[in-house]
Amino acid sequence: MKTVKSESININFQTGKDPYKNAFPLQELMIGNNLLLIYRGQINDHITHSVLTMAEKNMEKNGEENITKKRVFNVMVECLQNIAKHADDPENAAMSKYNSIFLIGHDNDGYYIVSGNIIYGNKVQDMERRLNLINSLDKESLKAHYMRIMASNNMTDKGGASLGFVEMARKSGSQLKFSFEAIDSESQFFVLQTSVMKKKVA
Amino acid sequence: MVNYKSEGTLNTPFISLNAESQVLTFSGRSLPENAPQFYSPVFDWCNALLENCNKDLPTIFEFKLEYFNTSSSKLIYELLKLLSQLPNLEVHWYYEPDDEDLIEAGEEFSELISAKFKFIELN
Repeated sequence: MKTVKSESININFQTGKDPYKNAFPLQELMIGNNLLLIYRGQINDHITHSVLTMAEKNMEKNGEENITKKRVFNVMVECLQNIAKHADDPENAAMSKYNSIFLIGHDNDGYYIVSGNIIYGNKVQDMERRLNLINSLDKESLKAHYMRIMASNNMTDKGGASLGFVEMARKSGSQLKFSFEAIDSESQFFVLQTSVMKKKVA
Repeated sequence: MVNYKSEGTLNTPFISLNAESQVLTFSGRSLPENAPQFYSPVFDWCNALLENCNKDLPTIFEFKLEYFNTSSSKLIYELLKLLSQLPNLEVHWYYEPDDEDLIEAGEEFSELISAKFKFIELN
């Protein structure tokens, strides 16, 4: 598959004579890398619903199976609302390259929901522990884990059910991919990828 | 007891809570970011129902949601747990035939909640 490198993109809004060059190479970059949608910036409730609507229309246009559409939609909801509820915004302009990012990839096999956001302080250890635990569980144990949290935990003060990652893993049916990249001593950039594969028609 | 109704939006469900028929209907999408706030009047209403219900009549919880986030899911669990104190709670769980995840979610609730569950296929 052809992958378009970002070096081939050279946008120049002020002196460029041909606005085509300011738009079309990005189109090729997205197509060449199976990118359906990229959003960068603050993620709040309002943005969440706009992104959901765009992705939903796109899946309808692609004629996706109902079950695939719903799984992708559910993963997106949990991912975006997680960020809206818990993510920290960059504290100053110098950190703005660590804005939240959300993207959806799509190929013949499935959809890939990727988010990145900055995390301050000591939340990383707990997140890593929860994600590793989820990845160690098979389908049945994951279901039991989900039901245990549902029946025992109280809601968090932000109205969360502590079920987001578990739900994402269940809808995905495969491991959650994640990484934490240290930015400085106080902050890390957290990236999470959930893959939702299309159901194979037997 | 007055009835409660909430018209659905793109992100919040249609809810109808009827004190005479004791039929509680939830349909559409439940994705509010602040689910506890959204469901707070529903909990108030259900607490009042526990005091005032007609014990000869079953209470029917009609679940017709197509999408719900995990915080809604948690609150629906809490709501059903509260309502399961009623002598005669029935949960009617509606699902599209190709939606195995929704059927599974209903089965999980039925394992956690002591009530009569009826699964109804939508056409």
